[in-house]
Amino acid sequence: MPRLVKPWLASFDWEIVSEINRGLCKQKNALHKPTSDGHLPAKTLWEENQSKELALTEALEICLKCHRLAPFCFYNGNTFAAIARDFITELSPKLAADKAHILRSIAGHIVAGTATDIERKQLDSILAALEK
Amino acid sequence: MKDALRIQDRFAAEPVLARTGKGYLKSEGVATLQRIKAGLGKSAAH
Repeated sequence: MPRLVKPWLASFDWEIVSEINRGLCKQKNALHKPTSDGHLPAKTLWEENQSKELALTEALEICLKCHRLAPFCFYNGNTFAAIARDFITELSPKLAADKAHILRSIAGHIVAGTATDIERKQLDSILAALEK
Repeated sequence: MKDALRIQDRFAAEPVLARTGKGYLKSEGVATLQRIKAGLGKSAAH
């Protein structure tokens, strides 16, 4: 199992996460507001992991869990998928453009909760190639 | 933020995953990937 361990979430403190959501909500005239049940658990999970050394797949799972916890009233999926797509672009210079696009796309699918087993295997395969 | 806004229409506004346990994402299609591959093909040919 490929690891690629580093503090992937380090650049995104919770204020930035909130600001991304605020911007997305503003764009669609949607209410930017924390939820009563999901905000605190998601914020806690995020902050517990933000500076941790994580395998890339673990970082993606944290984004997925936060998406599932729904800390905001609207656009949770886009908020965390955008963060994952952003931190994963760090790997792009090491990849051909098509592979970088596929990697970004799979990261988005994982966080959105729509990734297939085939996509997860494809992710493992791209990451394994990167680790060589 | 630019990428987040670019892909915004592919996501549901509502917390679908939290409510149903199933994620939602509108497909992007393969046009972008095909364009990238066509570009790679051209640069490999030169």
